[in-house]
Amino acid sequence: MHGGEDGQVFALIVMVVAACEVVVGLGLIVAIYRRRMPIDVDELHELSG
Amino acid sequence: MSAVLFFIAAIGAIAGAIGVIAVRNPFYSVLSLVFHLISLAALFLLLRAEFVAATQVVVYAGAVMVLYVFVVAYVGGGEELAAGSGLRIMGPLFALALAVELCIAMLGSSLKGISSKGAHYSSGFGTPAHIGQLFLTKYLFPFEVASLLLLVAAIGAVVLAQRRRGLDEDKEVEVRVRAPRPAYTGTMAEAAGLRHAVEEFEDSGPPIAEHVTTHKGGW
Repeated sequence: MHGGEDGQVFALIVMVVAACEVVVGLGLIVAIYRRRMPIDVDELHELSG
Repeated sequence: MSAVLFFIAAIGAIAGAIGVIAVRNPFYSVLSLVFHLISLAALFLLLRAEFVAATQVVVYAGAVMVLYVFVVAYVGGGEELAAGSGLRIMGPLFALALAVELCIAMLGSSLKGISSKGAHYSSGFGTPAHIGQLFLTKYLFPFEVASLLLLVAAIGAVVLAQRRRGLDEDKEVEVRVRAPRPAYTGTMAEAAGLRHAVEEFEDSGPPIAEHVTTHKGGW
C-alpha cells in the first residue's frame, strides 16, 4: 500500500480539476462582477441581470 | 537532515493553512495559500515525487493561484458572516468533524509505518518518464477524461468572457467614453487644442470622436 506510484497520478488529476475550477468559477465571478451585480450569493436569488 | 526539512515544510504548510482562514485581508489569505502550496511542494520533494513537486509549484502555485490573486485584486473581498448566523457555529463544527475523520484514517492505516525506514523505493519513482508511462498505460482513461475536462473548461472560459450585444453593454466603457474628463487634467486632446476642458465631470453628450471632425493634420 505504501510506496505505490498511484498517488502521484491522483495528485496531478487534482491539479487539473483545480485549474478547471479556477477557469469556470472565477470566470463566473468576474462575469457577474462586470455586470454590476452583487457577488453575494444571498443576494443573487433572482437572476434579474 | 530530512527530518529537519520535514518539520520546516510541515510547519510552513500548517501556518499557511491557518493564515488562509485567519487573515482579514482576502489578498493576504490568497498569498498565504500560495505559501502553503509551496510548503506542500517541499513535502512532495521529501517523498521523492519530484515531478509532482515541480508541477505543484509551476501549475498550482504559479498559475492557478496567480489567477486567484488577479480575481481577488479585481473583485475585492466579500463580507464577513453576520455575528449571530448559524454558519459561524456550523463551520468550525464541520471542520472539527473532518479533522476527526482524518485522524481516524491516518491512525488506522499509517501507524505501522512509523518505525520503519519508509516505503520501498524503486528507482525512477517520481520521474516524469515513470508518470508519463503510468498515464499512458494504467491510467489512460483518467488521462483522457482530464483532457476532456480541460477542453470543456477552456470553451467555458471563452463563452463566459463574451459580451453579447443587447444583453448587456459594457457600462464602464460607455461612461469613460461619453463623459469627458474634468477640466485641465492634461489630456493630449486638450494640449493639442482639439477639445475644450469641461468644467464639470458630467455625462454631457456625444463621444469625443464627434468633436474632432475639423481636424486637418497630424495623427
